[in-house]
Amino acid sequence: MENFESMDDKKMKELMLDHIDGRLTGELKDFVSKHIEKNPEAKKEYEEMKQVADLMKDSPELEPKDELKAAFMDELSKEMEAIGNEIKGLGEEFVELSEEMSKGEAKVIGLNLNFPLKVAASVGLVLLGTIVGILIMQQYNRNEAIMAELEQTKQLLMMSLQQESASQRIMGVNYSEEISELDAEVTAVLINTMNNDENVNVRLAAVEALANFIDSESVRVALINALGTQKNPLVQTALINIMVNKEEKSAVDKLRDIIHDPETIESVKDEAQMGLYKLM
Amino acid sequence: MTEEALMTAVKGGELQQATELFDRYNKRIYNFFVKICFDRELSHDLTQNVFLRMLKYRNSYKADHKFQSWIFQIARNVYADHYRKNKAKFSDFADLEQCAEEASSVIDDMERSHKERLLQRALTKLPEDQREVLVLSRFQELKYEEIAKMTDTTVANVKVKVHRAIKRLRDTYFELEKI
Repeated sequence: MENFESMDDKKMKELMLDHIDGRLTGELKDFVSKHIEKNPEAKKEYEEMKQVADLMKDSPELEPKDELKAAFMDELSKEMEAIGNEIKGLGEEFVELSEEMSKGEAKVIGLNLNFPLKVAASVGLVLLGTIVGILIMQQYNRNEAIMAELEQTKQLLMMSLQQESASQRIMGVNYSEEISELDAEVTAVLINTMNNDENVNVRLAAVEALANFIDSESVRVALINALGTQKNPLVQTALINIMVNKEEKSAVDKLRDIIHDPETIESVKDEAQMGLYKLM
Repeated sequence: MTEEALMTAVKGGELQQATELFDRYNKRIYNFFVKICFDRELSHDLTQNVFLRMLKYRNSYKADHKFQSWIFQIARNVYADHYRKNKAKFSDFADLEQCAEEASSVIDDMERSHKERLLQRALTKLPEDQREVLVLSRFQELKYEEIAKMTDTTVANVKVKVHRAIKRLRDTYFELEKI
């Protein structure tokens, strides 16, 4: 009690505000209450502060105009369009890369064709390279036209996952949503991303993408194993939710491990406990 | 879905989730500005700016950050930028004049009791930093810890600031009441 009495006026005023805000408990609360009751000056100050604090608490809020939402939706769609363009940009990069890679092979194909050989003979060897180049382009365009969309998406996915920026890798993972049929190469690369990507958001996206392919034995096993290896709470929670949603009873042991692991944070433990309860 | 999960999804490319965040926060951000600058039109523009930044800078959001602190931090930055840009155009005196004029119309809009009007008038008379700390802690009910993080100071410091601001508000309020 001595401590309290020697407190200066300023400290007492701060305590009165804490009292108004309901931050005080026990002995300190009683002490401040008594002080207020005993001193008319303090009481006046307390009541005035309380009046102002209460007014602020009940102060009405203004409604923003409806245009605000309309303007936001407009910006949002622009931003979504911008992402769309980014994807197109990636596609173009892919085209360039494929061209470079296929040049060697394509030259051989070109020489086997009669037409370019005739032309080449008539205009000379110097032009050969150019024409072959044009033919490669034509050949490529034809190929591109008939190339299954699935294949393109797959390539785009693989390429995006090689990018340095995490957001591009996430985009890559999200391409898998467009692939409805199971593809061993795609799932393998997604599993690898889930297990090894350094960025937690990318891993999280991979986990969510893999959940769509849980009917595949390799994916199922990989997801269950990830329960034992992933340490990030967000990823852990996502995995637990998938196991519950897909009623994956074989995950029960891993959930127990998570609950008993001293390094698991409380909220994840709760999720695991709930998951265990639902699966049992 | 928590705001943190929603923002993480936006960051991950699910931009449509931003609509939910807008719905939950636009009124709060708008009123944050209204109470600081007493200008509905300006508050409208600044609020729009905040959500535009939320989209543009979505990659800077970290999943372990409280969304509320992050969005109010953006709001503070938007206001600071606006103030900096316009400082050259208006002298402080002109600013205050303008503010007082607009404040009375905002107060009218609120169609409030006498006490409420007095409170708003007293608020306009507070220095901006004091008004801000009150708007964040009292009207928007952010925790001292959050405000400390946002303003890069200690909780003890925020407490002192809030206390000083309330004391001054109280003095001004009861002075105005006498008139």
